Amino acid sequence: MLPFIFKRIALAIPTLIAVSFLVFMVAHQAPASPIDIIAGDKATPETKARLAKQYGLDQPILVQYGRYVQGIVLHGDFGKSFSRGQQPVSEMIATDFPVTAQLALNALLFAMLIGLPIGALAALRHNSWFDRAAMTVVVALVSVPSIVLGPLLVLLFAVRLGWLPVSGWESPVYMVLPTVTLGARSAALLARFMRASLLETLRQDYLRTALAKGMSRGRAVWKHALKNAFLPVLTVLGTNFGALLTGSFVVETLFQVPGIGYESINSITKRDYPVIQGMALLVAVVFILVNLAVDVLYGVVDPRVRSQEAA
Amino acid sequence: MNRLRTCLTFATPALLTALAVGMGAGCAMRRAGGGENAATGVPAKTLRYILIVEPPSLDPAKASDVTTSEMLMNCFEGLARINPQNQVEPALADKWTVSADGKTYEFHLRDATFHNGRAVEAGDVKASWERALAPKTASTVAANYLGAIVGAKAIADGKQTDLTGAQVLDSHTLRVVIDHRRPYFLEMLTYPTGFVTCREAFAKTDGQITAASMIGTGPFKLESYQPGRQATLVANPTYWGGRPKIDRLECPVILDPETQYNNVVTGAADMLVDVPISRYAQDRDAGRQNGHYKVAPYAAFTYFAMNFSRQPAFARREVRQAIFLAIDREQINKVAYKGVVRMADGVLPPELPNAGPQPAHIAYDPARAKLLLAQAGYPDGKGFPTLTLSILQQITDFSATAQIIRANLRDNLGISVNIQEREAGQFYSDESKNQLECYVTSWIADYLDPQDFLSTLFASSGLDRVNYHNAAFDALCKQADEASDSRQRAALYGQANQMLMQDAGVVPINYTPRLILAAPSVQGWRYNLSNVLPQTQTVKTGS
Repeated sequence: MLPFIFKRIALAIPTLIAVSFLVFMVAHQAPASPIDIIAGDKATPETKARLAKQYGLDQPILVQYGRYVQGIVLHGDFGKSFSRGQQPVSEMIATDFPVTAQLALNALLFAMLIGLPIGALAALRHNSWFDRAAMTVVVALVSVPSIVLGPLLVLLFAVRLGWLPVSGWESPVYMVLPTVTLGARSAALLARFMRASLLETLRQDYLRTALAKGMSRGRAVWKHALKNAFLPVLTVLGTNFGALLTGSFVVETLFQVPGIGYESINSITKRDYPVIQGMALLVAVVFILVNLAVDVLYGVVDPRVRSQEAA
Repeated sequence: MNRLRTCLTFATPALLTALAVGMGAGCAMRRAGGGENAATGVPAKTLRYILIVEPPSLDPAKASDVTTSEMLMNCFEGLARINPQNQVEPALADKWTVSADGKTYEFHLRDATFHNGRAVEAGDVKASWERALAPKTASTVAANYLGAIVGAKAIADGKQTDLTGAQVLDSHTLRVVIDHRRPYFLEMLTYPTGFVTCREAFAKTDGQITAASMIGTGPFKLESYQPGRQATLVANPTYWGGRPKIDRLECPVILDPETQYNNVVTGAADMLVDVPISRYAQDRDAGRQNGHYKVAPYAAFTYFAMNFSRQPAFARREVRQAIFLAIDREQINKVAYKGVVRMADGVLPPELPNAGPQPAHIAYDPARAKLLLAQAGYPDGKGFPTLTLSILQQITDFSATAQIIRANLRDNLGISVNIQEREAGQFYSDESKNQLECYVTSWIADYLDPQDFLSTLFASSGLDRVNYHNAAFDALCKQADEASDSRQRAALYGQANQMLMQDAGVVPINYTPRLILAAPSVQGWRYNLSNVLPQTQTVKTGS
């Protein structure tokens, strides 16, 4: 297992270099520079030139990239924010990433607690009214984007009923709406996937054998079907978590959640190159690590994968 | 392994629950404490004032947006300030004299202390201005507002460090020499770049103002700052003007306009400045009393600019006049601005000190517009180039205005217009480089003087945004900028304003107010044409 992990980590390095290079080049190609935004519409050309020099933006782009990579490799320095009083990017990541991680974890948990039981029940009551109703809701939730669902939930639970706060990230009660908004689609996907997987498992010969041998249906489902049906769901869970971690841009912006999604959008509109680059690298690392974790976990859970790796 | 597999399969949700709850609890614990009101979670005498943009820093020398300036005005002060009646009044200086030639000011400082307890001295004022101008501070605006002081430009250019035009006569007296007579110099000093900061504090933070060195003399002092999230200020009990009536001022950063609004109507925040016009109109039309709206006159106007340097056709006076007359400004103000704004007959809001008389109203006249365009050689718009009208994206007022202008110019003059929505950074960059052919935007003055409208925006020596280049207009502005008598200044600015309108140098659309929403329990807050003032007199009733 260890050589496998090391190999995957080694393979991640060229990916990260490519990501950093692409993001660096694309960000610098966007119209208007950070100086235009920092300086506003009233600064003189001389002031802008002075600022550009101060931030090293007067250098050729490849020289700037070289300095950026040098800073990371030699000093672990991801640069400083142009638009936020020279705050180090590493400090911003350290403050923002735990927020995003918590939101993603909450959303995943919500998705599992809602999606898995509904999916399993729908499979066990295949073609019943419950199955049809659940799948209708699932299709609706998969189709409604968070940018629509979020404001609807705010309107109902925060503005009309006054049960929950509109925005912010201060105590558990503040987390409810962002969590539900972010997790709703995942819950629906998990429900659909769990249903399909369990339906498939329920048709397997070993289950029929267990029932023929006199095992009760409940026991057979609990002991054999659910466990096996959960295996493919685990893969979906992993990739889902990755998507939740890196896909909360809209939800964080909508609910003013101070995580990496909110920060990324903010930095893009301000052309804050060091922050854009830092956040993009972070997202890439998270994706690589989550995929690696899923592969490793799959090996732990499924003996067949382990034996293939050993071979 | 089988057991491990079972455990992993069913323990995952439980594990995640424990993790999430644990993290949530940690978060809750961080929030707790501080003697909160159980119902609202906020201390009783706390005012929650929404920041609609993220302050780029806590440094007054770098503040260039209204929101950040208004927050910083609670912590810092300059020598003078603008009162609710839009007049300059003493702040840290309790009196001053001006020489007959208008070039030398002698300020006498009042007995005031910094937040750390040290008495303010004249040397602090000089050091603060030198720091603001120093290239290392990287202020984009210091040279604009302090540049009049002798030696300021040389500091900004990195040629010297001593502000020679500021001489410390004694601990309480500062003499300031400026380049030439500028009757609006005191107004310029009211901008945050002129605020006084604590020398020894910023020396410890390498000349930068950070949370650690944010020590001013204002009615509130910084308690905590989470960049991009919230600034929390607490009342300064030793403030020379008396302790503020509230204890704390919490300023959460909320960027989404709908979220800002919802926070106020649900009671999570108390004040929101710059409510979008569409939202205000919706509440007004529905008769909803979600709080107290104030439609505050503002030192701002919205206009349609024709850039002479990008489109040679605009250089013809008849063309500009034709366009002016063909645009139905009444309709724009009624439809795009929901009747919230006032028609602008010039570019100087009537409440602005020294604004002079408003120019005569120029009415919508499509027939005459058509005639003028024909005289200019473009009958029915034949041969007239297709125009590109640029606006800031996602601003519904501008978007609706642009649509009406396009329809007006097409229907009345036969001129085709393409509308291009641009992101803020791109728009301002292109605007300042004179690369926009024509555009709709707003101008918000930085200090309350007609000079910051007419001379700064349209004169050849200013930002020269539309390349108007009219020698008579430039001469009028220069004469007004330097005249010592305020009545004479007002008359001259009035003439310049009138000339700009007759020449159709720009098409003013409206005087755009600020829409301020405050919870009904919030009373006593003050504002002037430029700003919502420091919250010294604000009270929260029922608390």
